[in-house]
Amino acid sequence: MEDLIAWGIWISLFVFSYFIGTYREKAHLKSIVEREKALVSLPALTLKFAEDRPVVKTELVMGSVVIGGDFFKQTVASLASLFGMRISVAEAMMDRARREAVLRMKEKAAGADAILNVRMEGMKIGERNKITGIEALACGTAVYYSK
Amino acid sequence: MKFEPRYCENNVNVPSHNHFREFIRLSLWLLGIIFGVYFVLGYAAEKIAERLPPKFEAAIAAGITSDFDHGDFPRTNKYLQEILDSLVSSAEGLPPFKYKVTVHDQATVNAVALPAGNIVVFKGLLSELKTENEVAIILAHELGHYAHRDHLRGLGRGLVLMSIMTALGLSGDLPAFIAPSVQTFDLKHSRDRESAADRYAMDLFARAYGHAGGTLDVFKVLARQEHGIKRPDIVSTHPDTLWRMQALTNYLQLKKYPQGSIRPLPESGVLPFPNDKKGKAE
Repeated sequence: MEDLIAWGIWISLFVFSYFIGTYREKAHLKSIVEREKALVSLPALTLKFAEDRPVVKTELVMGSVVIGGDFFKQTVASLASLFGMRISVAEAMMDRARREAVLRMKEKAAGADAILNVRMEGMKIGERNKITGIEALACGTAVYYSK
Repeated sequence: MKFEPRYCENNVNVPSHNHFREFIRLSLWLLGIIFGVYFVLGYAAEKIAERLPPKFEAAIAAGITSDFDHGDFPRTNKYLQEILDSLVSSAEGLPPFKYKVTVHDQATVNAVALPAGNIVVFKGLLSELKTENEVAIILAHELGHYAHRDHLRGLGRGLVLMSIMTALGLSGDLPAFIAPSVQTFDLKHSRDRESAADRYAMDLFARAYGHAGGTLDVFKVLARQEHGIKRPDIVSTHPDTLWRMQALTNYLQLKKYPQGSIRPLPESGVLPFPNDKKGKAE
């Protein structure tokens, strides 16, 4: 009986977290794509010097985001890590986080002509073998050229 | 250098967003590997257990049975031991152990066959028994486990199961979900063994007492116990009691054992005997 209750809780949590997680991921991706299209004209480059024009202003811009790993994703990730397979749930999560971080950085640099020397970082938040969440950070130098 | 804004729709970093298919694929892999390991190692453990020399078994037993060394009801214990001895003397195919029964003061309605001939009967079961025939059939059932070496097979498989669970526990946080499914799978084995022990008990009882009277009553006791906390057949170790009674009734008809007298319990007719508690009676 106790087993059945434990199973019930586990399975309902799992299914619930799958549907919520999938819904959230889809919604987030949709918003990312829209904003990326809107901001595509602002270049974010890894180059240190892009154009030979006088610069009037530079500033450090940063965008960071933390995305929680839901129960479903944690379970699938630990299954995949048993066999040394690609953890596609984590791939999707990291991808979302990085793109969101770049977007936030670009939004921070509104009005700039370019963001140069862009760096990206990702890290895991959580205990030993649990993924409570992941953080992605993007930073670079926003450059304003003289008109 | 000229910057040309261009948006790329295709995401090379995330090949698929279908996480559910991924989950199913990984689960099937894991289950396949677990069952594979369990069957191979479990089979090996069973074969080893069957060939384990009695001397070695006694050495293993020392560690397990030390908790059950002394019975809690000395006079009741002595009475059960007499019945057990008479059963053992007419039994066939038993490994050469010194068979010993111990009564344990615990409300569990059960009896267990521990290695090297140590049978433990719990007070909960004992207090439900009304006749000597019932006591004898319980003991004979446990002797059946020894005759079929089930107690060791159980140990061997249990060890393999525990190793798998430990391995899973170390590498991920899944055992809570996986462990019951492996165990449920093993119950089928366990049920077949219980039925075999039942039939052995019937044969042994008929040989010792010359008839098979009053033997089915003990299953009625079990049926009463299970009433109310009835679990589905697939998650129970002992086969569904009513099914068990039916199977045994058929078996009795097949073997044509005569019905005989039912022997009452000595003294006041209850077990354990009144005023029989360790320390008081001696």
